[in-house]
Amino acid sequence: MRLFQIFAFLFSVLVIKYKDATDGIGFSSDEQNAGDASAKLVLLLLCYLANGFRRFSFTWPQFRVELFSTHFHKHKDLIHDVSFDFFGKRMATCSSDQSVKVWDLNENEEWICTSSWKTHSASVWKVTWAHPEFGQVLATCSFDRTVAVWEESIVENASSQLNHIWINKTNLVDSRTSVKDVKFSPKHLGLQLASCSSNGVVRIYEAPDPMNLTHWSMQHELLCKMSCSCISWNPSTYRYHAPMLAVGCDDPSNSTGGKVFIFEFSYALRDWVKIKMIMTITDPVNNIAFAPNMGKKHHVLAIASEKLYIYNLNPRLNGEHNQSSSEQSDISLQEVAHFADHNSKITRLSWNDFGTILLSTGDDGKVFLWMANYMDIWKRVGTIKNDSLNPFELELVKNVPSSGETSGQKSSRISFKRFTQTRGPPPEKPLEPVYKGAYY
Amino acid sequence: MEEPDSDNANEIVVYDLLMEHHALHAHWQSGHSLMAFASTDTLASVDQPRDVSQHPIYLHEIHWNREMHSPVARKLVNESRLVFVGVQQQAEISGKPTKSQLLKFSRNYRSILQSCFMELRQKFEGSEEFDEELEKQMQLYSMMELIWSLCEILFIENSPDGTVLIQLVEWCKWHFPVADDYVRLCYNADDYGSPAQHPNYWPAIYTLALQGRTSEVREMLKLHPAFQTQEHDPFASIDELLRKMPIFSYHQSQSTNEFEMKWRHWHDECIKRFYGGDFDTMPNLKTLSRILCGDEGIIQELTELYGSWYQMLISYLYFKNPTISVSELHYHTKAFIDIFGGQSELGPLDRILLAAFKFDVSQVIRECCKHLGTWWLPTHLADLLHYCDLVPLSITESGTNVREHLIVEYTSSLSNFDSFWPVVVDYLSFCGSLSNHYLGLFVQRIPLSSEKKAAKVIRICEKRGLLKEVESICRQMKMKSMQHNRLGTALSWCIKANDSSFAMIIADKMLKEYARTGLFSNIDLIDYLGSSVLMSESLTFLGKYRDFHKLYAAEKFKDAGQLLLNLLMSRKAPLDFWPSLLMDCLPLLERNNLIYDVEETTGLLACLNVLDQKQKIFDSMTEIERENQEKKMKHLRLALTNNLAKAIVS
Repeated sequence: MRLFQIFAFLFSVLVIKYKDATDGIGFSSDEQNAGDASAKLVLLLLCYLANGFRRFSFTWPQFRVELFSTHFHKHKDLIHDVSFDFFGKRMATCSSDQSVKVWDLNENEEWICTSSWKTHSASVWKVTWAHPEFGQVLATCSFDRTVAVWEESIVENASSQLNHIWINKTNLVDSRTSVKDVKFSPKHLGLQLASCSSNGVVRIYEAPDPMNLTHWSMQHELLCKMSCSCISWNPSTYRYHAPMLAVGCDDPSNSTGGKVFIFEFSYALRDWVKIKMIMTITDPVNNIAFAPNMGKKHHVLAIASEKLYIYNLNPRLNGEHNQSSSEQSDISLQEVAHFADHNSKITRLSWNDFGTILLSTGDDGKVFLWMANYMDIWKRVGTIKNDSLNPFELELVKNVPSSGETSGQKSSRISFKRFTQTRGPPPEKPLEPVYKGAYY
Repeated sequence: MEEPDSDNANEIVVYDLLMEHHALHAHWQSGHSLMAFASTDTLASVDQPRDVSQHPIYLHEIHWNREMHSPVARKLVNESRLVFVGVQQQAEISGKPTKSQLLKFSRNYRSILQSCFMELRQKFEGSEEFDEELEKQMQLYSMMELIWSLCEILFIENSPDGTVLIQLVEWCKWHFPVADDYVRLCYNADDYGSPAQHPNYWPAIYTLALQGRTSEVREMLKLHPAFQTQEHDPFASIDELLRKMPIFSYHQSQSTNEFEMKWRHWHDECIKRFYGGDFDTMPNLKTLSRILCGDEGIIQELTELYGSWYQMLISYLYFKNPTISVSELHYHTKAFIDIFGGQSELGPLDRILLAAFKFDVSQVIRECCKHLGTWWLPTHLADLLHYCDLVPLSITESGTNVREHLIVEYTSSLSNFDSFWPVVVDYLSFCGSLSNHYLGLFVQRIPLSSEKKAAKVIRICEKRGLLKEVESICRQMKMKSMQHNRLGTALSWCIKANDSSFAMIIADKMLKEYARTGLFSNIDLIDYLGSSVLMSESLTFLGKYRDFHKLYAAEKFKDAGQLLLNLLMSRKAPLDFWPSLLMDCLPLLERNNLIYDVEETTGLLACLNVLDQKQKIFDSMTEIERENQEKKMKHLRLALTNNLAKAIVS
């Protein structure tokens, strides 16, 4: 009897601790099913035993919008995509008005549109930069079923000013339907380009001679049998990681099975092999993104569907010392987190440079920032909302010069009441002591 | 502790009329900045004309955590970097820094904060207008200093027996100069005749007493007209108590027990005199004696005068339990927080300090992250405490530990600014097992604005073993120089990157330029190619051809002639360069002494004939050039036949 009591007591303590801990790290317990919860409980218990687990979660510091500048954009229609070069100093925008614009950051930290040209004969979906080691190269894809590659050349005009001219190097016209996404490969794979179109074909092109971008040859054609919407290269430069591609499909029917495919290049077969399909995601996928990776052995993949999913991909490297023998490296998928905070479908994803913060945008008009704490537990750390202008702000925006200067400054940092409550400015520390002995 | 509505904590509102109908999209720029715009993903409805012209189309640039942009913050960043690197190096040399070393580093950080604060204050006082931004900065810095010094006392400096009150009292004295303000007011007011008449006279005495500055209290009391030294006088009695108050110090070779005995004796004396009615005639002195007795009620009465719960807590404990240890502090916090309105009334700073009093390091760091709006303090504090073994370690395979996590966040808040890149590199270098991962990611995003910067970045990469990045940087620089048509620079980057195919392209370009203009633009570079000429055939040819020029200039005609012949016969030269090569023979043929024998001359003639057949290269020339070329060829043929004749005869 006594033994039973002790057990009951222990169990209740554990449950409380578990609740405590899970609350602190961002899992609400109703999201977990029972089996999951017990697994987590065991894990947490182990944590307790091993390290004296403490509740520890990070919270993002308060946003402080220091510069809130709006640029009057000369596009005549909605912008579809914005892409930054590797250094964040140049920006390319593409729009429904069939044009692409390139913006440069000048010395005063203002964005100046340096070139603008008509690229396609229909809406331009995506624009993307190649790595700077291949020069200043852009690729665009469009509803008009083509992918175009552009290279910048700087020309001195009559009045000895430098003109930026973007030259059309090639049009890739293999697709028979709208091309939804285009991405350059990570730089260590050379100059390759992957595109996916709405009839479910992923094409991989390569420019054998980086000096001659007019010549692109189609290397591979991968079939997904479903309308593809997005594509992402695995950026890992780790030696034993074979090139990898993730493709997302936006087929609206739930019955067609998994919507995310992972392809890997097999050196033995000299072809891309489908190694994984994520069966659990049956809703249409709108965007997919690998986190930047330079030396971590596992990859992080974010998927935007009805929910936001974050997966860890752990390649099992069986033939580390004999690369050619590893026919098809086995990979294990592990869902790290999923969030339905948007309450609607999620449309875009974007990682920061270090791959520590993920940004997601949803159809609800909100932008969320996500961050993992040091225990790999993801949590929402920030929100950007939109609001239609009220009359006061309308005036504010109207007064902004079209060059795009700071329109309004807004600080949302808390004020430290205790300090300012009674005494005004912060505590004064006399420079010269009034009399000896009062200060050190 | 419950977190206040963390969901709504960080919100930015973007104003855009377009968003009524379209969703907001955003994209990372770099560091802590985003670009947001209204867009749509409903692909089906696209390409139908939409009425968007009524609203302008905006791009919204959003930044945050940009405190590090101000000149004072720059100083903070650059100077604290040196201390940070010092800590890491110390740790590398001796395994783990000792307590005293850590204390030294901690004081270094604090002095940097202090000097930044001073600079801000000077600016603030120097500026004509009231500067809100500066005032905010000043608040931030004084707050950081306050938090840091408390953490230093509690976490780093704790003495062997765990007593902290002396330091805490000092901390109060230094950071909350309330008492000094009162004292100054008393001394400076001429309207009241003497300081003792001043309305702030007693508040000054109380606050001095609360801060444990007994000798100053005595000085003040002596100014009172009723002060007398006779026995049984209330002033004399309190003066004696103040004089005899034992002060604990670890350094005075005094054991805790010994001190406690002394102190208890003194405390009993205080209570005895208080109840004995010694001070009944003077209500002010009665209040003062109640402070000395450690009376809780009086502390409540004086809050208006003195300050917040932590100051009160420290004063109370100073007179009630002066040998309290760090671990016992938190038992007393609740009572004082309740006096000040309970948990709900706590501001962000209170929460940080409370966590420190509770000795909850993680909570301190968490609260600092949340409320300070800068990663500076949590990062550096966590780093120091990491070496005190106070920061919890990582338990998952994939997770980094807290310290590394914070370092990455701190650096990414700096990475928006180009000039901070060496600082970022320094911090990331000491980021544990993943430092190369982060360094690699960061290095490839450093804008290579100049050759010098590129060289610096390369040196760092080489030191850290990021050879792929080195290659990549060289390629980028090469492309850049090519775009601006600087062949020489491009070639030198090529050689660094060991990129033979590209070296060929550049060498060909250089030869073409020579064939056209007769001049090499980068003679010095070609002269110093050294062993790198072996990288590509074209480059080898270029080097050899340059050697021919040198031999010719040195009047070693025989050698020069042989070299030229070799170049031609080996067929290494690109075809369109042959005319130039053959023309170089002409002066050699026309010399008096014979250079080429029969066989060699026939070889040259064969080359000439090959050239004649390849009309292709002449296609690109203009009419005049072609005529010129034909004339030259004729001339050359004549010279060669002459030479042949001469050779046969001799």
